[in-house]
Amino acid sequence: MKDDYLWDKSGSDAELERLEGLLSVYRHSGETVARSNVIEFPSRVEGVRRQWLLPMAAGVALGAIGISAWTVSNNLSETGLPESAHATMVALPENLPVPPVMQNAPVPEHSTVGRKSVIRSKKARVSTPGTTVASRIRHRKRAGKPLLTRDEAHAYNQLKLALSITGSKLQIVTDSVNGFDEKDTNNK
Amino acid sequence: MPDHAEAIYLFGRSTGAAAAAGESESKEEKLFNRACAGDSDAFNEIYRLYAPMVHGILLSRVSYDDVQDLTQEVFLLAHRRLETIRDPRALGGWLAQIARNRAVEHYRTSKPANELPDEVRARDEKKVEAAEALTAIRSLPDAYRETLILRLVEGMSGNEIADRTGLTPESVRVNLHRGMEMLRGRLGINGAGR
Repeated sequence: MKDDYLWDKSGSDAELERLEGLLSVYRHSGETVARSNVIEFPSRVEGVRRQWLLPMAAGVALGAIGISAWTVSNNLSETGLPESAHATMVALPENLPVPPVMQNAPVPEHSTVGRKSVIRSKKARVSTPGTTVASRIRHRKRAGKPLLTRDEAHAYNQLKLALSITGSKLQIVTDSVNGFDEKDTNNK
Repeated sequence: MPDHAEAIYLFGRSTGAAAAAGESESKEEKLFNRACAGDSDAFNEIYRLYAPMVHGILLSRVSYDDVQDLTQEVFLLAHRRLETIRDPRALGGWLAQIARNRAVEHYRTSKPANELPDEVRARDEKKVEAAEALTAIRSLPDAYRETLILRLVEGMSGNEIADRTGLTPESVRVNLHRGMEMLRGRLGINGAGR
């Protein structure tokens, strides 16, 4: 029966057999040779191992960051400043431009606005672990000297400049509003 | 309902056939687990078992010249993504779908073919006839042409087609019967011998 031959090649069917013969030229030839057609696949174990590399690398990076942070905190001096900072402290420039809106603002104790300040540290101090920012400020106040590192001075200057720009703009707005009000008053 | 729509409806997935396969299914499960663990011999055995099916599915869709390369690509892709399979019994159906997707992608990415059709390039009469038969099979609906190519070109029996592709034996039988009927009409083969 043809159905049987079509299903499981039982019996015979001349047409189908002829068709199979013709089409066999397109057949996959994998079964004829044992290994020559076998693909050389990359090792799956290596691929599995690679999956662990990223978490391991992340762990190592976090550990390095943690160690660095601990090392930095240990290297802080008694003043709360890094030892390397003592050699880099600078004097604040005189006559820093003060924006008009800040002219009447209270001057913080540690500020050196309008005053010459020379900061020197003659000797390195022994660092103590766990020094905080608050203790550094308290120490500075006790010492009676305004102490700013180069980085702090730079940041302070930047802040002053930003405030100066902001103040100038506010002044412009104020002037324009006042001028507008005067016009209104004159027109009435 | 049009024939091809009914064929697609019958192109269903077998959940019971694989379970009924008994020893052969457990052998494939073992192969799958070993391949996932990194056993290259196990994956090569999977290749030997399923390469004819993948080859046949690709042959039903793309030019014969591209089939061998695409077959390799399908298995390389399968090798990388083997662990995404949750059920080892779905391996055959998964490979079949990868092959179909790869064939579609091949058409999207390949340049417009200026190559001659197979039957024109063939020189001797038998090759011309073979090319005509292949063209006729490719003109059938998807489910019929895949099943017929696996049967007539790759030489797989109906049970083997069901095992490898994940179809039910009943679906395969219907696809073979109706597909052969349509093919006879297109090739002008006399069906009186039935």
